[in-house]
Amino acid sequence: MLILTRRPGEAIRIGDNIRLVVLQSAPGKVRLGIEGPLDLRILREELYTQISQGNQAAVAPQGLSLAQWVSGSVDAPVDAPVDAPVDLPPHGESS
Amino acid sequence: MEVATRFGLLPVGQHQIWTVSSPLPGFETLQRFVLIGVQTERPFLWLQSIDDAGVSFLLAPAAHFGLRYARIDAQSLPMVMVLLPTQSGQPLRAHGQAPLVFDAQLGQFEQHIVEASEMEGDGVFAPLAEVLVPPGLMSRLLVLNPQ
Repeated sequence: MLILTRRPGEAIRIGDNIRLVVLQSAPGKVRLGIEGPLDLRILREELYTQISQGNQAAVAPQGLSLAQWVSGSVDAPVDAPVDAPVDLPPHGESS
Repeated sequence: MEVATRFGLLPVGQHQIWTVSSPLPGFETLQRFVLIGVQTERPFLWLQSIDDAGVSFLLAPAAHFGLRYARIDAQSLPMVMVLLPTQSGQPLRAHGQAPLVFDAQLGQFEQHIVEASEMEGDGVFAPLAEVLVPPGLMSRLLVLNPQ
């Protein structure tokens, strides 16, 4: 990890188009300003972690049908596979 | 190409492949997906990873969970991942702070990350009478018909 010391009003450049400015520092807290491209995703790490955990919780397990999830009867024993058997459309077809 | 999915091996056309514009948090190595719609499962769709057959998400329009976002145009019909219940009697809930917006023209989607203060709604499944589908999405959907 690169470690730099900055004072309020001083900045750090990351690459060509990201500028990180120390706006204010106080005991136990620092206030930062970030300039960068509009499409650059900037998040507090705890929010990123929360979303990551939510995404992982949203992975659909195998072995239950959508009907069981919707009806709330997820404890019912099932015979795998239970996802809807399907007729495949011809290759590449969409509706 | 043939893709391993939760429904088995399926033929997927190039136009049915979606790429994620920024990696999904928690799944940074997954880039390509296919959207699968089962005729009898509307308004739900499946977002199946092409890069990892074991990863699929159940999606539905955020509106079916009563969710509205301050900084996302409602006309783009954001979708949400569905958090599936692990015990009987639990309702379907949305992963509401991370809606997905699909751009059918580019064949890309993005997961927005939203502060709790930028959204409204409880995120509990309450289906609307009207089945909402994001604009243009049908043209890139892999549709399956139950037997």
